[in-house]
Amino acid sequence: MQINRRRTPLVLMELIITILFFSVVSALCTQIFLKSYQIREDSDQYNRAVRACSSVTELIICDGGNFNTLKEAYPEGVENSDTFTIETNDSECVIATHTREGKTVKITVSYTDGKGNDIYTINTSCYKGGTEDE
Amino acid sequence: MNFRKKNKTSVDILVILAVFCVFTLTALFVVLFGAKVYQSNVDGINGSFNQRTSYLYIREKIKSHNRADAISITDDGTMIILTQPLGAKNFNTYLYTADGNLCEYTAAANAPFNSNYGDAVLPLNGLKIEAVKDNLLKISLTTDNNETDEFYINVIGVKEVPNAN
Repeated sequence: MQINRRRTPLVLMELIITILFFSVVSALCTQIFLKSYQIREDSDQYNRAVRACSSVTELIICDGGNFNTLKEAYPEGVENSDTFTIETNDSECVIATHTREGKTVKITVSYTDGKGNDIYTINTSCYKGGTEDE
Repeated sequence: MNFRKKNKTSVDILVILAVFCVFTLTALFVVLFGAKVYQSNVDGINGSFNQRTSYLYIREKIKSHNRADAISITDDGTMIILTQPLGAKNFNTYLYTADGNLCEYTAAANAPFNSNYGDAVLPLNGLKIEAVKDNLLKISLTTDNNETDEFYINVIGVKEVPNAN
């Protein structure tokens, strides 16, 4: 009985130390799980950005650097002088700009997240033809 | 006095058991939570991989055949036919979906086509191709988790042919 009385607090102490150790490890594990989830979300967003930017670039190039075909494909987009902005469902944006430089048109297509951070950008140019004065 | 001691020991054991139960439940919860996050990540990564790879595969196939009279689509918009001359003969590469897979089949242009001949490349539920203009293709992909993705490809020219299958 004497031994039993001494053992009980020892078992309790051991259990409490195990729980403390477990709590620290589970807190770390939870953080790692959340981090892995965040990395996957970022990777999905990056993939979306690459696809959206290349698609928009193809639409501008097929129209010789103009926004007409882009406007037909994305009627919800907003044109503002040399910039065309398409907002997606997750308040992410594709922003396309075109600048005429002689016979070529410089095209920049960026994908930004809801906070305005740049996720992916394509810089390219296409031949427009004609003379430099046009 | 003896009854008190006995009672104290029982309470001690009960407290230890309660703490142990809480510990076990929390451990179970953490393991289940981890398993759920892991499962969700694996599903997401697989879906994303299939979506990205199908997109890049089709895009690169079309770009590598981007010549005059080399790209055709069927009138029902379910197949891309890419023609490539090899020696004196023309060879066709057919890209289409069958049985939930993106399939590819290459044969001489005059050889008969059957959708059973193709090799499965990736899991893909649907492929829809539309010639928006004579130099612009709109491609819609439906992945195995039923997410639809649309993209455009600028080409030199595209022809529409009747679906022979």
